[in-house]
Amino acid sequence: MRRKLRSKKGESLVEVMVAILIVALSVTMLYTLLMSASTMNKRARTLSEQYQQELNTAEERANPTSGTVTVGTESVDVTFYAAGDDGALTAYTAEGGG
Amino acid sequence: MRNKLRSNKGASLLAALLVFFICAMVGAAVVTAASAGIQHVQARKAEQQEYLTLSSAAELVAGGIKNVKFTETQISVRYECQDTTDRITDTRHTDADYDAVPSVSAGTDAAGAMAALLQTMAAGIYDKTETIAEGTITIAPGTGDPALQTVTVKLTMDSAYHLTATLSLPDGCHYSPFYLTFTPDAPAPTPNVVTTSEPHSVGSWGWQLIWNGKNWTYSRVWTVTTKYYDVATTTTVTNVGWTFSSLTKGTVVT
Repeated sequence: MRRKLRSKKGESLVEVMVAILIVALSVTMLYTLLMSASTMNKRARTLSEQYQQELNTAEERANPTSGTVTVGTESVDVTFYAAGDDGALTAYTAEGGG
Repeated sequence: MRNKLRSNKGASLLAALLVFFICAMVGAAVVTAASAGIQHVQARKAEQQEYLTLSSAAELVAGGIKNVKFTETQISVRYECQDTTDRITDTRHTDADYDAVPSVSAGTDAAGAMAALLQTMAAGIYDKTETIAEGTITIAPGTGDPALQTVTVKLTMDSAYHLTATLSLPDGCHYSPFYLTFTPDAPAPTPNVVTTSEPHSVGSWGWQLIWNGKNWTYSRVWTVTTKYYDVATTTTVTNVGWTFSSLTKGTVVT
């Protein structure tokens, strides 16, 4: 026991402190990445729900708004069906049945 | 080497680096998976929008073509002289004059936008100048939703007026084309013949006995008499309409 206490073999304090620092940094990095992944998953879930809502609106012909499409060189009146946000899924039908 | 492996010197540093490596791997895997989830949702939305764009355009094209009616009116006029022994100076006497007039009627705005193209194609088939008529028209976003993609509609008409519309999106899109087929409604036309008589002047040289005061002499004279043509005006009206027959949907190209 005495010999062990007097022995100079082993690790220096600096080495141990550097190791502790690396472990601390690793844990912090892992925590940050897990939080980012969690945020991304929440965003994906929100997008998925929004997608489903937009799809229902477009397929059920809900929330109609007037607009036009250009067929060849002529403008044709149509009714758009979209959830209302920019970039939302959109379907349309020609006014008067085509 | 063995000594190095068995040595306890610097083990904490190695262990810490191992922990760092594991944390980095686990973190990267979790973030990559989450990122892939978002990208999947976004890609699914883009594919769905392509499908909605194509199906909406298909509905518009089907409704438009259904409301187009092509009419070709052919008028043939034949002149025949009642007395064929007469000298006839009018060139019409044996020729039939043909006059084919194509026209198209459209019941809706969408039909009107496609009517001119369909008229050109159907007239080519009617005149037999083409065995397969082709034409292309685009459906582009106007006002209201400029985010829609442009759909190219390629129309093909065969010699029996069967019509196929191929709807496709620009290159780089996921959905392959939609194919719409239309059956022609083209009953055999019944010619309507109206016959009338038309007067015309026929001149001929002849001999005429003329008293010149002293005696009778024969003189050549140009005599104009009125004859009549039989004018047969045949009007043949060919009507062609189309009814929607089938839709073959494209598949997602991965």
